[in-house]
Amino acid sequence: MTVSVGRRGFLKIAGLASLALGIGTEAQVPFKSGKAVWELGEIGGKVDLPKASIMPVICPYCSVGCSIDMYTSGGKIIWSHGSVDSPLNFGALCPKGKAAFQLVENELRLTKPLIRTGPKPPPEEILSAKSWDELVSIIKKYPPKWREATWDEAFQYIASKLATILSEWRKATGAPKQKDGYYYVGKDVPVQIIGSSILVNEEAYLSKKLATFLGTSNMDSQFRKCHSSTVSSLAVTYGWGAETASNEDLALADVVLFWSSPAEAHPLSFTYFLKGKKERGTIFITFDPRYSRTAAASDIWVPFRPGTDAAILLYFLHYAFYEREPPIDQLDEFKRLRTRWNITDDDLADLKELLKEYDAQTVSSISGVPVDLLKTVARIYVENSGVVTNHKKHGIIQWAMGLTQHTNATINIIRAAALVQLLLGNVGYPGGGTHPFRGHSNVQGATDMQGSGVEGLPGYHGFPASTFEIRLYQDWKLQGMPDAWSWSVPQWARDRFSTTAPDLGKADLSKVLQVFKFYGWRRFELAWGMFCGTVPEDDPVNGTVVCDFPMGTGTTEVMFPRRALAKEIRAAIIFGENPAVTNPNAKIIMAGLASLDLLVVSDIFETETAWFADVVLPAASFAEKEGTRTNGNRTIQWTYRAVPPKGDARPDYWIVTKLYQYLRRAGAVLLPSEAAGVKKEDVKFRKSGKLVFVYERPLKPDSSWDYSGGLGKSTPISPIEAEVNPRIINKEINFTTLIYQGIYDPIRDEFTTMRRIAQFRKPGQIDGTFSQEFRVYKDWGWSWPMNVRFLYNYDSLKAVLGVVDKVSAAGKEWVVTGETGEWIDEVTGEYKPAFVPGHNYWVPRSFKRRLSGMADVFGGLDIMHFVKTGEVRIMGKFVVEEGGEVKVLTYDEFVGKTGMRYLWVNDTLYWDEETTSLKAAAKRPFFSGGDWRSFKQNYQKMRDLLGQYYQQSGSLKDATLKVIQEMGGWYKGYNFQWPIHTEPVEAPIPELAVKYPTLAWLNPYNLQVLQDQPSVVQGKNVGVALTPDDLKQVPGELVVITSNRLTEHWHSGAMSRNVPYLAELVPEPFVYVPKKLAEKLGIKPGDLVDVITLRGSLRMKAYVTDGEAYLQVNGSELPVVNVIWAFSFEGYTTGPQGNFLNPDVGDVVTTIQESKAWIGKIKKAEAV
Amino acid sequence: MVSIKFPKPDEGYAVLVDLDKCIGCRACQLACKDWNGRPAEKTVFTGTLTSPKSLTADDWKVVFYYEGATTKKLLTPAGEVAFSQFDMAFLPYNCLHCAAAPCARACPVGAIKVTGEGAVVINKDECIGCGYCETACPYDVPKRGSDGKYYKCTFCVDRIQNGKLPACVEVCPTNVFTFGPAKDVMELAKKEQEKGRVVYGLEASSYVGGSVRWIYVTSERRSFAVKQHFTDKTPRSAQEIRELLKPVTIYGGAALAASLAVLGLAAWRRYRTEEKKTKLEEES
Repeated sequence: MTVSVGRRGFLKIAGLASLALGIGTEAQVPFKSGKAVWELGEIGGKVDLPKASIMPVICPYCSVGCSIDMYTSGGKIIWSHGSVDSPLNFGALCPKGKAAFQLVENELRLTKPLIRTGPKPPPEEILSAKSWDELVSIIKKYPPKWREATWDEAFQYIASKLATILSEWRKATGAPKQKDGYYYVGKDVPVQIIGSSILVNEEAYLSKKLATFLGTSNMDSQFRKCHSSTVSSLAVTYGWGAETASNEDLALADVVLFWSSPAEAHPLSFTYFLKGKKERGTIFITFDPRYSRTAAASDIWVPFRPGTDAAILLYFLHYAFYEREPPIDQLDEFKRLRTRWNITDDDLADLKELLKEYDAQTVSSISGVPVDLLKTVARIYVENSGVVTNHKKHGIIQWAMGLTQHTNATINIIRAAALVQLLLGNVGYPGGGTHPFRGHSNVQGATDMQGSGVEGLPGYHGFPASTFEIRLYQDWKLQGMPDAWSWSVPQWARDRFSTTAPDLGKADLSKVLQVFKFYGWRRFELAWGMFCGTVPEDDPVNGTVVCDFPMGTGTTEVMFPRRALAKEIRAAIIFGENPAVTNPNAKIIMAGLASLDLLVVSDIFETETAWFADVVLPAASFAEKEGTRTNGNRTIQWTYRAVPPKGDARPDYWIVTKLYQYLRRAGAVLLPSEAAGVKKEDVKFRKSGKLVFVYERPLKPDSSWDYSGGLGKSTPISPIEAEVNPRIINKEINFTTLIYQGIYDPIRDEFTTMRRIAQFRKPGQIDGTFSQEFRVYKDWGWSWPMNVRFLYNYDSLKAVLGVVDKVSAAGKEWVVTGETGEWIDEVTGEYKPAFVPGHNYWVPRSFKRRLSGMADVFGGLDIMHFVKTGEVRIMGKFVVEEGGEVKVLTYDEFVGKTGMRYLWVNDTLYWDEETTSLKAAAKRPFFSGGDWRSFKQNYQKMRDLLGQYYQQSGSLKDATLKVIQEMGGWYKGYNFQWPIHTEPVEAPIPELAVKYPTLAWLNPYNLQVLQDQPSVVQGKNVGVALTPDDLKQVPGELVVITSNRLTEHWHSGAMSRNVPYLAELVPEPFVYVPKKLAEKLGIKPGDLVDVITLRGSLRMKAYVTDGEAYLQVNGSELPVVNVIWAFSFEGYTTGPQGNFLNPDVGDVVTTIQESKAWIGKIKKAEAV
Repeated sequence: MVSIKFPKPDEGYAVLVDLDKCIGCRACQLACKDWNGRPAEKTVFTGTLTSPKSLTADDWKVVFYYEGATTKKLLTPAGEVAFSQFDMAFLPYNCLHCAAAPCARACPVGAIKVTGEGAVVINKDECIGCGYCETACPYDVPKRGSDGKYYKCTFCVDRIQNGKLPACVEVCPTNVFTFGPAKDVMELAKKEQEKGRVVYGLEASSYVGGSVRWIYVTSERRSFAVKQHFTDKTPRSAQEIRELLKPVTIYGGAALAASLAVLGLAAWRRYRTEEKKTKLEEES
């Protein structure tokens, strides 16, 4: 029927039509009524649903640790939803979790190993690009032209290339032979291993193991670029770098200071935040230059200038000490807690002297936050704190990259946050603490497994720093692997080892930390079949040092590209990471990658990093493998395999293990012990002045890489896992990594991380009262350390609830005041409270060991044999003194005497009041130097000189270099115990840049950036603009630039831009422009704008909004713009890369990049 | 010729959408696509986060982002403080499942079913792609797919009929949606209204049956989202239709009404398309 009517005709007919549309509950429609009932899944083609099998898989995106039920049929995922039983997401998911199945079922997945046949883009050409578009066109001129290969071919190719590179290097340098022994200086080995915070723990652990076997400490992961500054700052202040409490605890806060946007980056955390708001009226305050979705959920939005976080936090303390009545240091609770913080009267006076100058007016003119607003938020926060309310109320400081990615993050910003929380009595109490939300599903786990990457072995047992330390270690071994209290620092070492308690019977933090290091080395020697010590073993002073662990720290991910450009690093192996996009200063990282002689990338997609690779290996996705993931609150959950890997893809545990075997056969691996001809270790103890032979330990490094097979609960789940079984690796981690001891219960053959019990414990059980009262799920997964969910919870039962808890366990009654965690008893094999009376700073580092002086670690258990077979084979002997006589006993004899049948399970470690009472390091955690008051004059001199030279030369760079020369260093004499405000490297206001000089130049790497090193980058515009003077030639309006991501995209974007559902939601990046600035520049929503920094220009669409900071800073108007950074040139959807704009300067301690505060210009793009 | 039986507004199911709980994450938007097997659309950034910019045949649920300025009141240790600040609010949007859905009444072939649960469902197999439902809808909901058929939210009829929550309700991290018997949900909405919160959908126009089954509730602070959403776009057409229909309700003639309705709407739709075209031409 065709109808042709005009408007008039339409009106007529429409009139009549109304009858049919008449209002009523019944209407006449033609034809049949048809369908009224639908089957489940009928509409969306999911009719197989009733037949599907269901597997819980841990979400691969952020760190909340949501559990996803994957419904699979015919080897494919047909539906997924949040696991209803999980107390982290109780059936819900965010859009990334919801779309995660598209990471598995995706046409862009890599399914075959690929070998490059095309040439690489020349580094010089990359470096010379003036804009992002120019850079892309250069790169695209050199496509990789992949050739498909078999695994054997790909491994052979890598192994032979790497063996050549390493043999050449060993030949040229003589390594591992050194003038004083056999070892590798870790940073000199020309190999970089990277990745990844997306790997499961078992894979991350192996990546570290591989690096260690290659002798390199150039090993790093995404955590470097996310939270390295958090870890370093919190660890030196409280003992551990981790988030202090669990997600459940978020609901117990009374105020939350959001310094990031968890509503976007960690949506499921908001369940608990909003629970708190509903139940106790929690006040939310968001600090962000951008009106984020978290700001939208908050009560107050505080827009501020990026990089001034420390100043704002210092004002909170200024308010607490100077403005409030009475000042907090007059409160009883403050006085009570002071001893735990290690603050003397003198320290307090010092701190207050510093805080004096951070008054509201000063901080307002630094940060751009109006005085009234500053005062209001400080008052709200302080008045709701633990010290003020006697623990009736607490506040949380939550943060992410906004705080961490600054050159002064460790020393100023996060340290300030840590101190605010500590001094306000918010640490260790419910609804308080520091909540640095991790970005990746296993970033906490990868940091743990890789020992902070460049610094040490799994579990943060640092690498040896010198041959002296190895000699000291050998002496420690001769003392029978004692705990810190049983360790006597040998006379010959006392002038080099600084401790207040060198003798037996006493310990201080230096001793505790040193023994923690040694203890880790010992575990790894046993489990990896390696050697570290002196030969002969009984002569630590004069023997030859031989050590299979790399010496010294290595190259971080941020420093790596410039070292690659300088040809100091020639090969890199990257697992599941995309530094081409996530590293700062795109030209530098891309040129660095392009200049490698060998780049191997293992990933699920062809990423931007893969574009520069020689070999790309197809990895299994998160749902195609099993293992454990540690969420942001240290809760470790088992993730199950839902479907087999696509095509030839393989899990990274399989890839690393096989790769090791190929590398070994090709001669790429040469251990120092092998070069020195050491094949076994004679374990000897000194006892009563005599040397006692205990046992002989053969070195079996290759056997430790045999992860095939598996029995009992470790029965392999598929033929792939039969070749490399992650369950065996998991058990090995249990025995090597102290903080993870407990992920496996060797007596009951149970993987505790598989526990999925979402119930509170009951009083009488270990932590029963704690679990019930503070509503913490202690039997969901397992949490490090020793299943503690809530760090530093030493006395909150007592302080908050006024109760002391009694627990009967392992045949004893324990009186506890906080959360204790649990630990297997060496006599009964039952669980007992671990940290008595509660968890406190530095435990479990500060352990005691009953076997000190008597036996090797785990009594000399053959760890390799046990994890594979479950059979207990004790190789060691037990040295005891009886009536002045030294006896060497067998395990059975020793057990017969002591009853410690399960010493091979817990190594007889225990924690008592002495070990749990170590104090927080509120002062002098970093470098030596004077107190604030004595530094103040130097500080003033430095500022004066800088100002003077800057005025003379007009160049802040010249002035800076002159000050360094004249004063013999930068910030000379500052010991960093108290945070201060320092400006970002790129400072928008010269006056402030001089008044609060950047800290950056303390780090030699940053000086390289400042001085355009290495030479290949000279004249390439990849450095920094210290003030707007350096951008004089650049057209446009001056802005402070910062970056962020959104709910819908994730980091480099490889795992979101390639997910069609997520790409639909945010198809391209954009820049937030304050409406006022947009109006001035004639920019309309969606218009293209040019954002220009010293590194070049980038064209993006504008998001025009009043929800972007337009500030008054130091008396002048200063707009901020936010750049979305998760995009680049490869994949399903692409766009300009935000990290093209930022400099690659880094935090002075960890080198985490400055991604959050740069200066540049913005203008409306001219029509092309 | 058969009759559609609309359950009474307080029979069947309804959903309360609490905007104060929404963090704008859009999990609901994707869960909807996923459950219903809809492919991703290729979109572009147009200056707003809303993407795509309206409901489509492949996006039966879209979260809309609105900006406004509001006064936030906060109880602090020093007494109540009021802030006038920029604000943003999120409005998850899908078919509202009108109590007496005009689309179902408009469908010339009876392809739009109304179930006992109150779900208004276009049965794909019966849809002839005429577009009358789109025209009749005051809320800009039904959309034409590339196969020529019309698509929209089904209230997850194949889930709710099988004892499951709608996919978007199930996935939400912050419990924005309360699904339940219509009677309970309406009562809940009324209670919220009595508390001074702004409610939309409880008292809708008689054209849609007096109420809808997806009822929005928000604090005054975020009410700008509801105001902008429901005054800016949709009610214009709703108003037009209503006004056009008003003078003729007095006439009888039930027998011809249905087919005339079809004719009339087709004509009206064509007129609207032309009007839009002219407008576009004028603008350019």
